[in-house]
Amino acid sequence: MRKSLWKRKGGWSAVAGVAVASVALAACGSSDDAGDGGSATGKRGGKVTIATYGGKTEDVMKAVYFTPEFKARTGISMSFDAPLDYAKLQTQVESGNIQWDMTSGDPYMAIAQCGTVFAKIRSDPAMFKEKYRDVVGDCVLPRDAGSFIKAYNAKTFADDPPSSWADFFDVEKYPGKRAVPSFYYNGIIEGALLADGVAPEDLYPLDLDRAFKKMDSIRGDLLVYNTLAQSIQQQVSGDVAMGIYTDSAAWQAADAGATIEPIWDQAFIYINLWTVTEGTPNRAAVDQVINYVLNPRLQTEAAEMWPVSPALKDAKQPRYPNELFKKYSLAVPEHEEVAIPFDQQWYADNYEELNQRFTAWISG
Amino acid sequence: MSNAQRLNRAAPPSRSKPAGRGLAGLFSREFALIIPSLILLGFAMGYPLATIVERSVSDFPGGHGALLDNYRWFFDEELNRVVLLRTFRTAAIVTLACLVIAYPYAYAMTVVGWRMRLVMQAAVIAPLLVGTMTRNYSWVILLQDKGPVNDALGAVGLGPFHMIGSLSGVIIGLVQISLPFIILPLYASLREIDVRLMGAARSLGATPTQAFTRVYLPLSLPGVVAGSLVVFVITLGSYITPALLGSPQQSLLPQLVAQQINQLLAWGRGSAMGLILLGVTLLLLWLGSRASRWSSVLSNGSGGGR
Amino acid sequence: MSAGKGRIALNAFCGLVMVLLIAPALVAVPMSFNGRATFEFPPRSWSTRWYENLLSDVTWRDAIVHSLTVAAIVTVVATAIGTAAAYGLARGRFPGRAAVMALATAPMIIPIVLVAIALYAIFLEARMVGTLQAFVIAHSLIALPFVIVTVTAGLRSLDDGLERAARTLGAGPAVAFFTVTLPLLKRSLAIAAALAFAASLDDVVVAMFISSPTFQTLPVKIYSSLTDTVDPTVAVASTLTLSLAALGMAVAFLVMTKKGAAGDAASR
Repeated sequence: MRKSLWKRKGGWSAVAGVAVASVALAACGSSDDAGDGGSATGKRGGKVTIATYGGKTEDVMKAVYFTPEFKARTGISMSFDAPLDYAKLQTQVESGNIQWDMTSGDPYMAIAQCGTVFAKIRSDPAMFKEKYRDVVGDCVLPRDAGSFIKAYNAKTFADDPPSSWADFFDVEKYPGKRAVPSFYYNGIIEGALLADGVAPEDLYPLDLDRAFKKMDSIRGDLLVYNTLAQSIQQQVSGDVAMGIYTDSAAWQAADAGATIEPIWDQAFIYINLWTVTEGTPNRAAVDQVINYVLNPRLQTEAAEMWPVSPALKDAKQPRYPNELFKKYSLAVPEHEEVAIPFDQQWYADNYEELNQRFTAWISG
Repeated sequence: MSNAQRLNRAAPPSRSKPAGRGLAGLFSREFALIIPSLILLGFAMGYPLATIVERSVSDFPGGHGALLDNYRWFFDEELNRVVLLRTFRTAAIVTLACLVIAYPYAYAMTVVGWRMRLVMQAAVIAPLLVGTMTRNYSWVILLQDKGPVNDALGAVGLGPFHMIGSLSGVIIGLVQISLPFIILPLYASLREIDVRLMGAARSLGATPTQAFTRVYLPLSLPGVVAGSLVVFVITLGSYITPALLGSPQQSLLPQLVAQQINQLLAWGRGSAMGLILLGVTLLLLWLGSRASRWSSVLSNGSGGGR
Repeated sequence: MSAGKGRIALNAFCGLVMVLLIAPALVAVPMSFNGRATFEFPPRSWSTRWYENLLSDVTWRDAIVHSLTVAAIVTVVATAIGTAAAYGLARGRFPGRAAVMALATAPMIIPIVLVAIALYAIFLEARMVGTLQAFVIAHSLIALPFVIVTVTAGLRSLDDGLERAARTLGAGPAVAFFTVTLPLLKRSLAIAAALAFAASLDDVVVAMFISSPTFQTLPVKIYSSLTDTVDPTVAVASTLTLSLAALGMAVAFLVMTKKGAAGDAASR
């Protein structure tokens, strides 16, 4: 009995060794303040934290908006947090300890929680492109827009390519898997109604019963993706006949070698926002940030890095880095013209019911 | 009375009450040992649990509702019932698969030489140190439609299989991630078994199969139960792996909870869902521990004192 | 079936299991040298640009350091208090043990997002969001059930006669525990510690809530990266974690090889 203790000791020191090694390696780790948002806010300068979904959005913000020039002009130091999470944001507001002064939120949530989670911002709808003006509201300040497009496998349908929502729902003529995001906010509900003969101007309020009935017709051919990475992978692997993707995801997939073609007709436009958190102690600094970022030149620059369309009316056409980028950019006038904005007010009023029905439909 | 129970009484690692248990002094001394954990649990689990319970009966979509409306909603929605069942079914499949893989491996660890044992141990510990997220990333790559696993299967004339976004992908990922959590406790328990008992059984005329099922297997049950329990329970709570490797058709209840709260700010419904999952799990564990006294890891305190 | 054939089958099976355990961790290595931002495996072109990317972005490096720091401290804290609790629960007699056990395993069962939100509210109030302390407390909670379940199982298969014998010979309960029970429990403790380390290193959900721009952990970075873009920097971070783990294990392996040789010689 006693002898085998040696072996046991071996096991123990193995773990201890690893633990010690990691402590040693981690010894240079920094601990910092709790990020409770800077108490001393002067007229100029200060500290503002913005939360985004991370990834490319944050990269573009750092490269275009919050540059050394921004710091020099405003004296404000920006910090970035990700991922944005509404439960986290609401907890901050309820407890009065605001960590995120600004967010890059979704319009439907900003409308639904205006005055409770999101603070009002003064803005002039006339500043923005006409197509985006309906969204502008008390708490909603557009930054730029992206869209959910349909894309099809160019190898499979080379001869007679699909071109409409009716084709998307026609699995006889265009057989194969339909890739769809797992979240309801992607245009498939609107698309089902369009395919079923509803006129674009009569879409809202959405007739959900009719839409889901139409959607049931392709239920057996669905390929649902949870993450952007999954969607890109599916497109590259080529097993998808047609799918609904964000324009930027389709662009990334095409860039990675996917043989896909976009369908811009009746794509659905979503708007990316600047939103301000209700009760932020750094409101003065936040207002300075907003003054700075509502700049057509910066919005155009952002649209040259990432396929989005500037929200301001005065923004110039971006210079596209290459043809592929242009092919997937909503900013191209011919693309924007045929795309339809989501009715965000309708989403704000109905998202709970919509989520329940869509989740049940897609995961049943 | 089962063989397991009969053997348990005869087997060496028998449980017996410590003698001469002093009254008040001993009580407080041993109780003191759990105080640090109680403080942590009270602070970091008790309070959250209290707010979850409170929210589940006071926070309703639209502002107001009756006390149990969120619970009623849960059982009224077919989707919730479907996902609840799916959650337990997936956890059961993963646990079973892990057990089938882990048992021979842990057994082999007890019979090989020390050098090989170290290697086998390293193979189990290494994934733990690398972390689940890294392995999720790898599975995303390995299991893709034109990925290496399908290539390999294709080479022997199988597939291709669509694994990412399907149940098989989720199960493969969860099994691989959970394996160390069952191999380690299982091995700890197997190595305590006195293999001479097997020899004794053989010399008394038992076949190898009998010696295994009647002597070795029952003695290994504490490890089996502890390991299975851990795997079952971590699978029930898994959220990231099904999200990354699966599609909504495989999503488990924790994903629906997160959706209710993070995307819809429906705190009450999300809380009620969480409590229902907790309640059903505890009920199952309790039934399990009733069904077999071997399974009494959860209620070890009361079981051992009998 | 002959014993030899059985043995071969068992060896082959174990070999496969080892591949299953190890191979996925190794995938990150070639992927980290990918020339393009894709999931193609093996990559068709090669580059070190993702390494440059990681080196130029301090948030990745900080995230690795934070994750390992937290995991190391949590390993010590959770193993210590969890072992004490397991012992108290196994050997002690007091009312409500079953309730304590249920509470102790609850963090494993309840969807962690619910706990995360409640903890976040507490830490916000205490101005502790984004601190090492908050991570240690939260992750110790997550790790505690693994320690308690493992050590409890260890104690159950332990012959407490030895402890009693020590007591009969005049050792106090503390002395008996530290000189007899604890050494016998070493294996369970080592496993419990490894599981606690892993539990901390794996947490994404709680970390997403209690992190701040200045204090993020690696799984959060990887998760947002995996859901948002196809960024091979993830593979670089994974490769680095893997190398650190391999380093730690190599050190441990050297130590154990010496002890193992001695132990094996003595036990045969």
